[in-house]
Amino acid sequence: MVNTQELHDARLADIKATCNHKEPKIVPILANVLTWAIGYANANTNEMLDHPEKLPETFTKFFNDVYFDTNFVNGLTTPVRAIERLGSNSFFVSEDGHTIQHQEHCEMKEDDYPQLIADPMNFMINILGKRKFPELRKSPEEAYKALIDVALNLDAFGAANAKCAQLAKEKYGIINLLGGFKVYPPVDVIFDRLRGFKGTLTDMRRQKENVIKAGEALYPIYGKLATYVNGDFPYGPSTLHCPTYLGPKKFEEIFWPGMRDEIMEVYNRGSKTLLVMEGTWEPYYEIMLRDLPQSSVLCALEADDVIKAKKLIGDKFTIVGGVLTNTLRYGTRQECLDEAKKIVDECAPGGGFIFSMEKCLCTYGDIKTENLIAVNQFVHEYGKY
Amino acid sequence: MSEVTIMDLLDKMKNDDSWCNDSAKRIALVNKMIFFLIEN
Repeated sequence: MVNTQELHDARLADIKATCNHKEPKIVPILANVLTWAIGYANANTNEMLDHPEKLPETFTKFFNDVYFDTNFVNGLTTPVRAIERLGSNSFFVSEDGHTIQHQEHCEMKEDDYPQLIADPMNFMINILGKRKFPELRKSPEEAYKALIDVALNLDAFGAANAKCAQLAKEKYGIINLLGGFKVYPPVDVIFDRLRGFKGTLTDMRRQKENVIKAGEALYPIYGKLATYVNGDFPYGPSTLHCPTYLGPKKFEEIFWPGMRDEIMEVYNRGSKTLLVMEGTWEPYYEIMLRDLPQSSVLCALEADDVIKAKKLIGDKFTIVGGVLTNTLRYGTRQECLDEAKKIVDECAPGGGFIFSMEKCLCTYGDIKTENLIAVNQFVHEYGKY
Repeated sequence: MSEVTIMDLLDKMKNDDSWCNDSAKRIALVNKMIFFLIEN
Protein backbone atom coordinates (compact mmCIF):
# COMPACT_ATOMS: atom_id res chain seq x y z
CA MET A 1 0.00 0.00 0.00
CA VAL A 2 1.52 3.27 -1.09
CA ASN A 3 0.85 6.17 1.24
CA THR A 4 -0.56 9.44 -0.03
CA GLN A 5 2.71 11.36 0.22
CA GLU A 6 4.60 8.67 -1.72
CA LEU A 7 1.83 8.60 -4.31
CA HIS A 8 1.98 12.39 -4.61
CA ASP A 9 5.76 12.39 -4.99
CA ALA A 10 5.71 9.63 -7.62
CA ARG A 11 3.05 11.47 -9.61
CA LEU A 12 5.00 14.72 -9.41
CA ALA A 13 8.14 13.00 -10.68
CA ASP A 14 6.16 11.54 -13.61
CA ILE A 15 4.63 14.90 -14.53
CA LYS A 16 7.97 16.70 -14.43
CA ALA A 17 9.57 13.92 -16.48
CA THR A 18 6.97 13.89 -19.23
CA CYS A 19 6.84 17.70 -19.44
CA ASN A 20 10.62 17.64 -20.00
CA HIS A 21 10.26 15.01 -22.73
CA LYS A 22 11.56 12.13 -20.68
CA GLU A 23 9.52 8.98 -20.31
CA PRO A 24 7.73 8.81 -16.95
CA LYS A 25 6.81 5.53 -15.25
CA ILE A 26 3.20 5.95 -16.24
CA VAL A 27 1.13 8.32 -18.37
CA PRO A 28 -0.24 11.04 -16.03
CA ILE A 29 -4.00 11.65 -16.17
CA LEU A 30 -5.24 15.23 -15.79
CA ALA A 31 -8.72 16.19 -14.53
CA ASN A 32 -10.14 18.93 -16.72
CA VAL A 33 -13.07 19.41 -14.40
CA LEU A 34 -14.96 22.53 -13.39
CA THR A 35 -18.46 22.58 -11.91
CA TRP A 36 -19.11 19.00 -13.08
CA ALA A 37 -17.50 18.09 -9.76
CA ILE A 38 -20.35 19.80 -7.91
CA GLY A 39 -22.92 17.90 -9.94
CA TYR A 40 -21.05 14.67 -9.24
CA ALA A 41 -21.48 15.33 -5.51
CA ASN A 42 -25.21 15.95 -6.08
CA ALA A 43 -24.80 19.53 -4.87
CA ASN A 44 -25.40 22.86 -6.61
CA THR A 45 -23.15 25.79 -7.32
CA ASN A 46 -25.30 28.43 -5.63
CA GLU A 47 -25.01 26.47 -2.39
CA MET A 48 -21.21 26.45 -2.77
CA LEU A 49 -21.13 30.19 -3.47
CA ASP A 50 -23.23 30.91 -0.38
CA HIS A 51 -21.43 28.41 1.86
CA PRO A 52 -17.83 28.25 0.61
CA GLU A 53 -16.88 26.16 3.64
CA LYS A 54 -18.75 23.26 2.00
CA LEU A 55 -16.78 23.49 -1.23
CA PRO A 56 -13.60 21.47 -0.45
CA GLU A 57 -15.33 18.20 0.53
CA THR A 58 -17.93 18.62 -2.20
CA PHE A 59 -15.60 19.52 -5.05
CA THR A 60 -13.07 16.74 -4.39
CA LYS A 61 -15.61 13.93 -3.95
CA PHE A 62 -15.10 12.58 -7.49
CA PHE A 63 -11.52 11.65 -6.67
CA ASN A 64 -12.96 8.78 -4.61
CA ASP A 65 -14.32 7.12 -7.73
CA VAL A 66 -12.53 8.41 -10.83
CA TYR A 67 -8.79 7.87 -11.26
CA PHE A 68 -6.73 11.02 -11.74
CA ASP A 69 -3.11 11.95 -11.02
CA THR A 70 -3.35 15.70 -11.34
CA ASN A 71 -5.90 18.47 -11.73
CA PHE A 72 -6.28 21.71 -13.50
CA VAL A 73 -8.68 23.71 -11.32
CA ASN A 74 -9.41 23.62 -7.60
CA GLY A 75 -12.90 24.75 -6.73
CA LEU A 76 -14.72 27.56 -8.51
CA THR A 77 -13.14 29.90 -11.02
CA THR A 78 -15.51 32.85 -10.75
CA PRO A 79 -16.52 34.75 -7.59
CA VAL A 80 -20.10 35.24 -8.72
CA ARG A 81 -21.35 36.78 -5.46
CA ALA A 82 -18.65 39.46 -5.50
CA ILE A 83 -19.64 40.39 -9.05
CA GLU A 84 -23.30 40.52 -8.06
CA ARG A 85 -22.44 42.74 -5.08
CA LEU A 86 -21.28 45.38 -7.55
CA GLY A 87 -24.60 45.20 -9.39
CA SER A 88 -23.37 43.22 -12.40
CA ASN A 89 -24.83 40.06 -13.91
CA SER A 90 -21.88 39.27 -16.16
CA PHE A 91 -21.65 35.80 -14.60
CA PHE A 92 -24.51 33.67 -13.32
CA VAL A 93 -25.32 30.09 -12.39
CA SER A 94 -27.07 28.29 -15.21
CA GLU A 95 -30.45 26.54 -14.91
CA ASP A 96 -28.62 23.21 -14.58
CA GLY A 97 -27.53 24.37 -11.12
CA HIS A 98 -23.86 23.64 -11.86
CA THR A 99 -22.41 25.67 -14.73
CA ILE A 100 -21.22 29.24 -14.20
CA GLN A 101 -22.09 31.06 -17.41
CA HIS A 102 -20.75 34.31 -18.77
CA GLN A 103 -22.60 36.95 -20.72
CA GLU A 104 -20.49 39.48 -22.52
CA HIS A 105 -20.47 42.99 -21.05
CA CYS A 106 -17.74 44.87 -22.88
CA GLU A 107 -18.08 48.54 -22.05
CA MET A 108 -15.04 49.85 -23.89
CA LYS A 109 -16.05 51.75 -27.03
CA GLU A 110 -14.24 51.83 -30.36
CA ASP A 111 -12.97 55.38 -29.80
CA ASP A 112 -11.63 54.66 -26.29
CA TYR A 113 -8.25 53.36 -27.46
CA PRO A 114 -6.34 56.65 -26.91
CA GLN A 115 -7.46 56.71 -23.26
CA LEU A 116 -6.52 53.06 -22.76
CA ILE A 117 -3.11 53.54 -24.38
CA ALA A 118 -2.35 56.74 -22.43
CA ASP A 119 -3.12 55.31 -18.98
CA PRO A 120 -4.44 51.74 -19.00
CA MET A 121 -4.96 51.41 -15.26
CA ASN A 122 -6.89 54.67 -15.00
CA PHE A 123 -9.03 53.70 -17.96
CA MET A 124 -9.76 50.11 -16.90
CA ILE A 125 -10.42 50.85 -13.22
CA ASN A 126 -11.72 54.39 -12.94
CA ILE A 127 -13.56 54.75 -16.24
CA LEU A 128 -14.63 51.22 -17.20
CA GLY A 129 -15.19 50.27 -13.55
CA LYS A 130 -17.97 52.83 -13.28
CA ARG A 131 -19.45 51.85 -16.62
CA LYS A 132 -19.55 48.16 -15.66
CA PHE A 133 -20.57 48.23 -12.02
CA PRO A 134 -23.69 50.18 -10.95
CA GLU A 135 -22.69 50.06 -7.27
CA LEU A 136 -19.50 51.99 -8.07
CA ARG A 137 -21.54 54.82 -9.59
CA LYS A 138 -23.19 55.53 -6.24
CA SER A 139 -21.80 57.88 -3.57
CA PRO A 140 -18.16 57.36 -2.51
CA GLU A 141 -19.38 56.01 0.84
CA GLU A 142 -21.67 53.45 -0.79
CA ALA A 143 -19.04 52.47 -3.35
CA TYR A 144 -16.44 52.07 -0.60
CA LYS A 145 -18.74 49.76 1.38
CA ALA A 146 -19.34 47.68 -1.74
CA LEU A 147 -15.60 47.38 -2.40
CA ILE A 148 -14.96 46.20 1.15
CA ASP A 149 -17.70 43.58 0.82
CA VAL A 150 -16.09 42.41 -2.42
CA ALA A 151 -12.66 42.15 -0.79
CA LEU A 152 -14.05 40.05 2.06
CA ASN A 153 -15.90 37.84 -0.39
CA LEU A 154 -12.76 37.33 -2.49
CA ASP A 155 -10.86 36.40 0.67
CA ALA A 156 -13.40 33.69 1.61
CA PHE A 157 -13.63 32.51 -2.01
CA GLY A 158 -9.86 32.19 -2.33
CA ALA A 159 -9.59 30.40 1.01
CA ALA A 160 -12.21 27.81 -0.03
CA ASN A 161 -10.38 27.13 -3.29
CA ALA A 162 -7.07 26.83 -1.45
CA LYS A 163 -8.65 24.24 0.85
CA CYS A 164 -9.80 22.29 -2.22
CA ALA A 165 -6.19 22.15 -3.40
CA GLN A 166 -4.98 21.14 0.03
CA LEU A 167 -7.58 18.39 0.38
CA ALA A 168 -6.88 17.05 -3.13
CA LYS A 169 -3.20 16.82 -2.26
CA GLU A 170 -3.39 15.52 1.28
CA LYS A 171 -6.31 13.09 0.99
CA TYR A 172 -5.91 11.90 -2.60
CA GLY A 173 -2.27 12.58 -3.45
CA ILE A 174 -3.39 14.73 -6.37
CA ILE A 175 -0.84 17.06 -7.98
CA ASN A 176 -2.09 20.61 -8.37
CA LEU A 177 -0.61 21.30 -11.77
CA LEU A 178 -1.10 25.07 -11.82
CA GLY A 179 -0.58 27.92 -9.41
CA GLY A 180 1.06 31.17 -8.48
CA PHE A 181 1.32 32.89 -11.83
CA LYS A 182 -0.46 33.09 -15.14
CA VAL A 183 0.14 34.04 -18.74
CA TYR A 184 -2.61 36.32 -20.00
CA PRO A 185 -1.61 37.79 -23.37
CA PRO A 186 -2.61 41.48 -23.54
CA VAL A 187 -4.63 41.14 -26.75
CA ASP A 188 -6.64 38.33 -25.18
CA VAL A 189 -7.45 40.78 -22.35
CA ILE A 190 -8.79 43.19 -24.98
CA PHE A 191 -10.79 40.39 -26.62
CA ASP A 192 -12.12 38.86 -23.38
CA ARG A 193 -12.62 41.84 -21.11
CA LEU A 194 -12.60 45.13 -22.94
CA ARG A 195 -13.91 45.07 -26.51
CA GLY A 196 -15.37 41.59 -26.87
CA PHE A 197 -15.52 39.27 -29.84
CA LYS A 198 -17.16 41.54 -32.40
CA GLY A 199 -15.43 44.73 -31.27
CA THR A 200 -11.91 43.29 -31.21
CA LEU A 201 -12.15 41.58 -34.58
CA THR A 202 -13.58 44.75 -36.13
CA ASP A 203 -10.85 46.88 -34.54
CA MET A 204 -8.16 44.58 -35.95
CA ARG A 205 -9.39 45.52 -39.42
CA ARG A 206 -10.24 49.19 -38.92
CA GLN A 207 -7.66 50.35 -36.36
CA LYS A 208 -5.02 47.65 -36.16
CA GLU A 209 -2.32 50.04 -34.94
CA ASN A 210 -4.41 51.01 -31.94
CA VAL A 211 -4.95 47.35 -31.01
CA ILE A 212 -1.19 46.75 -31.21
CA LYS A 213 -0.44 49.86 -29.13
CA ALA A 214 -3.08 48.88 -26.57
CA GLY A 215 -1.49 45.44 -26.27
CA GLU A 216 1.87 47.10 -25.67
CA ALA A 217 0.34 49.44 -23.08
CA LEU A 218 -1.20 46.51 -21.21
CA TYR A 219 1.99 44.43 -21.21
CA PRO A 220 3.55 46.02 -18.08
CA ILE A 221 0.37 45.13 -16.12
CA TYR A 222 -0.28 41.62 -17.44
CA GLY A 223 3.32 40.70 -18.16
CA LYS A 224 3.99 41.18 -14.46
CA LEU A 225 1.66 38.26 -13.65
CA ALA A 226 4.05 36.02 -15.59
CA THR A 227 6.90 36.98 -13.26
CA TYR A 228 5.36 35.39 -10.16
CA VAL A 229 7.13 32.11 -10.85
CA ASN A 230 8.28 30.18 -7.81
CA GLY A 231 10.67 27.45 -8.91
CA ASP A 232 10.16 24.87 -11.64
CA PHE A 233 6.74 23.76 -10.42
CA PRO A 234 3.75 24.33 -10.39
CA TYR A 235 3.21 25.57 -13.91
CA GLY A 236 1.01 28.52 -14.90
CA PRO A 237 -2.15 28.59 -17.02
CA SER A 238 -2.88 30.56 -20.15
CA THR A 239 -6.46 30.28 -21.36
CA LEU A 240 -6.46 31.48 -24.95
CA HIS A 241 -9.73 32.49 -26.58
CA CYS A 242 -8.92 34.85 -29.44
CA PRO A 243 -6.30 33.19 -31.70
CA THR A 244 -8.58 30.63 -33.35
CA TYR A 245 -10.42 33.53 -35.04
CA LEU A 246 -7.33 35.32 -36.39
CA GLY A 247 -5.38 33.37 -39.00
CA PRO A 248 -1.56 33.22 -39.09
CA LYS A 249 -0.95 36.79 -40.33
CA LYS A 250 -3.00 38.61 -37.68
CA PHE A 251 -1.90 36.10 -35.02
CA GLU A 252 1.77 36.73 -35.65
CA GLU A 253 1.52 40.48 -36.05
CA ILE A 254 -1.00 41.42 -33.37
CA PHE A 255 -1.40 38.61 -30.84
CA TRP A 256 1.80 36.62 -30.72
CA PRO A 257 4.37 39.23 -29.51
CA GLY A 258 2.74 39.67 -26.08
CA MET A 259 2.00 35.97 -25.72
CA ARG A 260 5.52 34.94 -26.73
CA ASP A 261 7.15 37.44 -24.36
CA GLU A 262 5.07 36.29 -21.40
CA ILE A 263 5.83 32.61 -22.11
CA MET A 264 9.53 33.47 -22.32
CA GLU A 265 9.30 35.40 -19.04
CA VAL A 266 8.07 32.18 -17.40
CA TYR A 267 10.58 29.98 -19.20
CA ASN A 268 13.52 32.19 -18.26
CA ARG A 269 12.44 31.95 -14.63
CA GLY A 270 12.51 28.15 -14.82
CA SER A 271 8.85 27.13 -15.16
CA LYS A 272 6.41 26.25 -17.93
CA THR A 273 3.07 27.47 -19.25
CA LEU A 274 0.03 25.33 -19.88
CA LEU A 275 -1.66 26.74 -22.97
CA VAL A 276 -5.40 26.10 -23.12
CA MET A 277 -5.65 26.30 -26.89
CA GLU A 278 -9.32 26.92 -27.57
CA GLY A 279 -10.47 26.18 -31.11
CA THR A 280 -7.95 25.32 -33.83
CA TRP A 281 -4.24 26.12 -33.48
CA GLU A 282 -2.65 24.06 -36.22
CA PRO A 283 -2.15 27.20 -38.39
CA TYR A 284 0.14 28.57 -35.67
CA TYR A 285 2.30 25.49 -35.03
CA GLU A 286 5.12 26.76 -37.25
CA ILE A 287 5.28 30.09 -35.42
CA MET A 288 5.34 28.36 -32.05
CA LEU A 289 8.00 25.87 -33.16
CA ARG A 290 10.14 28.71 -34.51
CA ASP A 291 9.98 30.97 -31.44
CA LEU A 292 9.55 28.81 -28.33
CA PRO A 293 12.26 26.73 -26.62
CA GLN A 294 12.25 22.98 -26.07
CA SER A 295 9.76 21.78 -23.42
CA SER A 296 8.64 25.34 -22.62
CA VAL A 297 4.88 24.79 -22.89
CA LEU A 298 2.12 22.23 -22.44
CA CYS A 299 -0.47 22.32 -25.22
CA ALA A 300 -4.00 21.46 -24.06
CA LEU A 301 -5.78 20.96 -27.36
CA GLU A 302 -9.44 21.51 -28.04
CA ALA A 303 -10.32 21.18 -31.75
CA ASP A 304 -6.88 20.05 -32.98
CA ASP A 305 -6.28 16.34 -33.59
CA VAL A 306 -4.21 15.12 -30.65
CA ILE A 307 -2.37 12.39 -32.58
CA LYS A 308 -1.53 14.71 -35.47
CA ALA A 309 -0.37 17.37 -33.00
CA LYS A 310 1.90 14.85 -31.29
CA LYS A 311 3.55 14.16 -34.65
CA LEU A 312 3.87 17.83 -35.62
CA ILE A 313 4.83 19.54 -32.36
CA GLY A 314 5.04 16.76 -29.75
CA ASP A 315 8.82 16.40 -29.84
CA LYS A 316 9.14 19.98 -28.62
CA PHE A 317 5.97 20.66 -26.60
CA THR A 318 3.97 18.48 -24.22
CA ILE A 319 0.62 17.43 -25.66
CA VAL A 320 -2.40 17.34 -23.35
CA GLY A 321 -5.44 15.53 -24.73
CA GLY A 322 -7.44 12.36 -24.80
CA VAL A 323 -10.81 10.83 -25.54
CA LEU A 324 -13.24 13.43 -26.86
CA THR A 325 -16.03 14.48 -24.52
CA ASN A 326 -18.52 13.65 -27.29
CA THR A 327 -17.27 10.06 -27.26
CA LEU A 328 -17.46 9.98 -23.47
CA ARG A 329 -21.01 11.33 -23.70
CA TYR A 330 -22.44 9.34 -26.61
CA GLY A 331 -20.03 6.44 -27.21
CA THR A 332 -20.12 2.92 -25.85
CA ARG A 333 -17.64 1.82 -23.22
CA GLN A 334 -15.71 -0.13 -25.85
CA GLU A 335 -15.60 2.82 -28.27
CA CYS A 336 -14.16 4.96 -25.48
CA LEU A 337 -11.54 2.35 -24.60
CA ASP A 338 -10.56 1.89 -28.25
CA GLU A 339 -10.07 5.64 -28.67
CA ALA A 340 -8.05 5.82 -25.44
CA LYS A 341 -5.77 2.93 -26.50
CA LYS A 342 -5.09 4.49 -29.90
CA ILE A 343 -4.19 7.84 -28.32
CA VAL A 344 -1.89 6.30 -25.72
CA ASP A 345 -0.19 4.12 -28.37
CA GLU A 346 0.48 7.13 -30.58
CA CYS A 347 1.20 9.85 -28.02
CA ALA A 348 2.91 8.25 -25.02
CA PRO A 349 6.25 7.09 -26.52
CA GLY A 350 9.10 9.44 -25.63
CA GLY A 351 7.12 11.34 -22.99
CA GLY A 352 5.72 14.81 -23.62
CA PHE A 353 2.17 13.61 -23.10
CA ILE A 354 -0.54 13.98 -20.46
CA PHE A 355 -3.86 12.21 -20.90
CA SER A 356 -6.92 14.41 -20.39
CA MET A 357 -9.93 15.54 -22.38
CA GLU A 358 -10.35 18.37 -24.84
CA LYS A 359 -13.08 20.33 -23.03
CA CYS A 360 -13.57 21.06 -19.37
CA LEU A 361 -16.55 19.41 -17.74
CA CYS A 362 -19.12 21.94 -16.55
CA THR A 363 -22.41 20.16 -15.99
CA TYR A 364 -22.99 16.63 -14.76
CA GLY A 365 -24.60 15.60 -18.06
CA ASP A 366 -21.52 16.50 -20.12
CA ILE A 367 -20.37 12.88 -20.18
CA LYS A 368 -21.39 9.41 -19.05
CA THR A 369 -19.46 9.10 -15.82
CA GLU A 370 -19.11 5.32 -16.21
CA ASN A 371 -17.24 5.89 -19.49
CA LEU A 372 -14.82 8.31 -17.82
CA ILE A 373 -14.20 5.88 -14.96
CA ALA A 374 -13.51 3.04 -17.43
CA VAL A 375 -11.22 5.14 -19.65
CA ASN A 376 -9.10 6.54 -16.83
CA GLN A 377 -8.71 3.15 -15.16
CA PHE A 378 -7.68 1.67 -18.50
CA VAL A 379 -5.12 4.41 -19.21
CA HIS A 380 -3.74 4.12 -15.70
CA GLU A 381 -3.13 0.39 -16.20
CA TYR A 382 -2.20 0.41 -19.89
CA GLY A 383 -0.12 3.58 -19.89
CA LYS A 384 2.91 2.08 -18.17
CA TYR A 385 6.30 2.62 -19.80
CA MET B 1 -13.59 69.52 -5.46
CA SER B 2 -12.25 66.73 -7.63
CA GLU B 3 -14.19 63.49 -8.17
CA VAL B 4 -13.32 60.51 -5.93
CA THR B 5 -12.08 57.76 -8.23
CA ILE B 6 -12.24 54.01 -7.73
CA MET B 7 -8.45 53.95 -7.42
CA ASP B 8 -8.75 56.53 -4.61
CA LEU B 9 -11.12 54.18 -2.80
CA LEU B 10 -8.81 51.20 -3.33
CA ASP B 11 -5.88 53.22 -1.97
CA LYS B 12 -8.00 54.14 1.05
CA MET B 13 -8.74 50.45 1.64
CA LYS B 14 -5.02 49.68 1.80
CA ASN B 15 -4.66 51.92 4.86
CA ASP B 16 -7.98 51.20 6.55
CA ASP B 17 -7.63 48.57 9.26
CA SER B 18 -11.33 48.68 10.15
CA TRP B 19 -12.11 45.92 7.64
CA CYS B 20 -8.91 43.87 7.95
CA ASN B 21 -6.25 44.34 10.59
CA ASP B 22 -3.48 42.52 8.71
CA SER B 23 -1.78 45.12 6.52
CA ALA B 24 -0.02 42.60 4.22
CA LYS B 25 -3.29 40.78 3.65
CA ARG B 26 -5.10 44.07 2.98
CA ILE B 27 -2.62 45.06 0.30
CA ALA B 28 -2.74 41.59 -1.28
CA LEU B 29 -6.53 41.64 -1.39
CA VAL B 30 -6.65 45.12 -2.89
CA ASN B 31 -4.16 44.04 -5.55
CA LYS B 32 -6.36 41.02 -6.27
CA MET B 33 -9.34 43.35 -6.55
CA ILE B 34 -7.66 45.39 -9.26
CA PHE B 35 -7.63 42.37 -11.57
CA PHE B 36 -11.09 41.36 -10.40
CA LEU B 37 -12.43 44.78 -11.45
CA ILE B 38 -10.72 44.58 -14.84
CA GLU B 39 -11.74 41.01 -15.58
CA ASN B 40 -15.38 40.90 -14.51
